[in-house]
Amino acid sequence: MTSSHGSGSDGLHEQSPSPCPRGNAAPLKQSLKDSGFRADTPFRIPWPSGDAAPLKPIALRDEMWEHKVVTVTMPDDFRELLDEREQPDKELRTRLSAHFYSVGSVGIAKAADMAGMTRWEFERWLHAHGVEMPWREADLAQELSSVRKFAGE
Amino acid sequence: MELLKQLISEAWIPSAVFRELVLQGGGWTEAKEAREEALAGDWLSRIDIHQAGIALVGNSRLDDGEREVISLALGRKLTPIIDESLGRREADRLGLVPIGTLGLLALAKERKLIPNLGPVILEMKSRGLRFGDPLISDFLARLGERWPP
Repeated sequence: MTSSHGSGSDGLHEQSPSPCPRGNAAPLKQSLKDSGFRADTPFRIPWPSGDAAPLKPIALRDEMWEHKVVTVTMPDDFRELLDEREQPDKELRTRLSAHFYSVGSVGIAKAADMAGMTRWEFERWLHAHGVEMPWREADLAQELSSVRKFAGE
Repeated sequence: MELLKQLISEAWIPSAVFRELVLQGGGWTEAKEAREEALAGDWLSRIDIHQAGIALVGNSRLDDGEREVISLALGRKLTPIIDESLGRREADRLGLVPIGTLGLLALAKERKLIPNLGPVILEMKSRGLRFGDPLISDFLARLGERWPP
């Protein structure tokens, strides 16, 4: 993830399908190549705190590269606040996973995986941060109808 | 667990769920209880759906645990116990009747095992149940209770 500021864009978007309109991926790509990274080697994303993120190794091909970069454009205020956090990458990743879980885009197991936590660690985090079960009225109606079916047996 | 035993005559836990909840469950009391129950095998039994010859169904956006629960329910004509919205929708799509924590509590009230659910839900919420207040309020109102109790 790279951050830039001052463009006044909409915040978060994936750079696809046209690769890197602002040319952000190119320096990253070059610096990775300089550091001996080969596009066909599986790699682990380095974690600021030193504790290894339990990510599955991802193999990136050169031609896929631009599509894997997510650029977050945000004002300086964000940057200053994030700099104060102990593990900004981990926090952003967890919060984003919790968001996609809470709007019902992914299930809890998948979201926990995306957050780099076990299901139970993620459950604890969600509870501590007041993230509710993504149930809608229809889910409750279905549950009550299930109860009626069993109660009638 | 004791309440579940009074509501359900026999329960099965597929291998993927056993791995996910029981082995990775860390220090959670519920996980320890479930492990002991599953190892004793009297009321709760572990089942490997592949060995039992049950085909894995469910879409790939669900995790292995949810898919195995749904497959087992479909293969053995059982009721899947699921709280996860995505898993419940998939179960419903396949013609199953999923039930979750709230439904089991409602059945417990119906069978006069628990007179008032409010205090029980309050306690469960403090221990990790994450249903929102408006949803619980709506649920309890239909059972003639107020929220918060």
